[in-house]
Amino acid sequence: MDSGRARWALASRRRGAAGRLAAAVSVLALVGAACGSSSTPAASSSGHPAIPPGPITFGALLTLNGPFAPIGLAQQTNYQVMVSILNQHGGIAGHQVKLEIVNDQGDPATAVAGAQKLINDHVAAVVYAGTAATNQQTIPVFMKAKMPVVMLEPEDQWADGLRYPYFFDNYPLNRPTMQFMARFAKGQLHVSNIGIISDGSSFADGLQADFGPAASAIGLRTSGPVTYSPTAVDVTTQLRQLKAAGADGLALFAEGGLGQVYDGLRAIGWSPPIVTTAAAYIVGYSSLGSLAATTYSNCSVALQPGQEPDAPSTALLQAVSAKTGVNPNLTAAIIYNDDLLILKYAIEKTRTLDPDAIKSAIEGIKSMSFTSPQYRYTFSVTNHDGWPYSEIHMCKMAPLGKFDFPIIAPGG
Amino acid sequence: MSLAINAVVAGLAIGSVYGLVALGYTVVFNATRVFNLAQGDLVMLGVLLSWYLLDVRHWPQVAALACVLVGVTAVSLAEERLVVRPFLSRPRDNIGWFIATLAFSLVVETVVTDLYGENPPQPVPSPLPSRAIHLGSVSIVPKLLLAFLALVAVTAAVEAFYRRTWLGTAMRATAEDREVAALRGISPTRMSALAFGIGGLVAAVAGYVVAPIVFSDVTIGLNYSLKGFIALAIGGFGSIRGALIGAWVLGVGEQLFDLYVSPRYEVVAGLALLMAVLAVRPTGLFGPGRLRRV
Repeated sequence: MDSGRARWALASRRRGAAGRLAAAVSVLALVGAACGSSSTPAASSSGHPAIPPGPITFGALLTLNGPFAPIGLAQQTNYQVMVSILNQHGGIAGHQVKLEIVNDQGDPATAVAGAQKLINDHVAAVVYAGTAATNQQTIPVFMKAKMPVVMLEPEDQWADGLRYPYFFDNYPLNRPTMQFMARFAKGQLHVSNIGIISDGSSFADGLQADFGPAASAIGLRTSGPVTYSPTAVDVTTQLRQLKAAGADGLALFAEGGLGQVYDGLRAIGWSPPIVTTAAAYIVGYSSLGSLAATTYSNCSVALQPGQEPDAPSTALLQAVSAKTGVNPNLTAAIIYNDDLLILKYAIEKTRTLDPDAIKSAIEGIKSMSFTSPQYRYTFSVTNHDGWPYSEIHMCKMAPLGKFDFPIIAPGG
Repeated sequence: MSLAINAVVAGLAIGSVYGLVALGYTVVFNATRVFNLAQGDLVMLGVLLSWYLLDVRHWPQVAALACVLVGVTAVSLAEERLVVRPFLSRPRDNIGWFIATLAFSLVVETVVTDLYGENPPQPVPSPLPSRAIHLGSVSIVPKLLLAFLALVAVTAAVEAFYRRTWLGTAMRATAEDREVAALRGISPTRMSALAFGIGGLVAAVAGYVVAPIVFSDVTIGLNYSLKGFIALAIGGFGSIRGALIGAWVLGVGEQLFDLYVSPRYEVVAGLALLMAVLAVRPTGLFGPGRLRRV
């Protein structure tokens, strides 16, 4: 075959192939359009895709085994009850709400796998992304997937709305809380040298990192820090170190082993004033004994002496305590419930599950309350921590108020 | 100086807890050449059973102790029958018991965790007063002193059993060579059951004594298994006195490390101590001497 005919033959074959390809693409496009049109929801009024039919699913990464399981197990029950209450009241935008809980086992690798599962399962948002032990890994995973997260989280870094655009915090941050705690220890408890003891957890490390500078800034001397293992048999060595260093007060940052600390203090005959975190209401609370009179915790959801909880909080806590019983962790249900209601507000306002729309809606929340009229949240584009800072307090460990509400201490 | 002395006293008491676990390992190992990796979880079972009987059911201490002894020993015997015995009749180099006892420990932990539910660790009533005993600048709480005394008493009892009873002699013979012992009329099966029974009793005593110290914590099993193993390795495998001394060395070493270095790396202290001992005496402080052909 000569070259001219060969070129013609080749061009013909190419034209034929191109035509067949174009026909195939057209058929595929028609088929795709036909299939897509039956499942793609119509656009919402904001221009984003409307909420697809069926339930709206929220995800939660909880620690359900290990030393920190008591917190996770309590959260699980709280969230399940609150979702069922939400559904009894019509759900969100007429859709029932489902909760998908994944056990992160307190392990970062397991937590990341769990986060990926929630993303793959296309949950609409996440109401808890893990404890301090795991959320350092999981929150970036959610941010990369543009997954809205609304949760209780005290770490200062996550409030940066520019770095973590889809993360929203409805709890006081560590820095202002530790500043308040240090001022309370010095001003109200008259501590001049505060010994710092922790269980070495990520949660405790975060608090220590803020408490040290806060104490220095107001001229409060610190001793330590010393650490102990939550499964330690005895912590008297560490306590004696602090006492020998001249500490006349104790800052206890821990999620586990608090009972051993109280026992150790009794063993060495030392009863300093203690400032600690709200975890002390859950772990080791029944071991406090006489130390309760001189132990104070940071508290956000709390009552003034003689104050009664408001009606909406009472209704919620009655429903939750019907399942869990009344316990010192019960009042955290108000904050967890606010996670759900903030998302409900954002989704109903925008009529979509689009993460950017939800993000904008939450950033537009100004002085708005949800479960209780006492807590009014304000978010912005740059500040994603909505907690009202007039509601940071220090509370007595005992006695507790109705529904085991912590009671604000004098000067707290 | 008083800080160091108190650290040593605390270390002896803490080491006593590890020693009770190490003793359980030793008893079972001496008769069967099996490391019961579930020993720490048997102690945990004893702790939780003590909590349930004393704090929830409000039983008197003596009745609770009797029930804990019976309950934990029964579980240990069940472990021997179901999980270990199938491997004992196989060639000596078979190590299937390693996986089997590890699996059993996970089963025990899972079942107990499930039964315990959402409760955080709760205090367990102690038979002794909580006021510390002060001797000059040194103080110790009675429940830690009880752990120390329990270890000494149990060690003495086990040693006496091995040296002065024919059953103890029979158990040692079975450990040396099961076949020859069988030829002499000693039932290896009964000896291994007896070993696990004694191991269970030791774990039960450990759990009951330790419960008021560690609270009702379902997560202590693995930690105590590891610490007990380190104590055993320091003292020498197969040596009862070695288990006791090794445990005290570990406990005191950890406390001094906490005091002078950092409590944050306490687990490193135990492992570093182990490596240091094994570098000088590869069979442990009281392990069998090395034999060489002449």
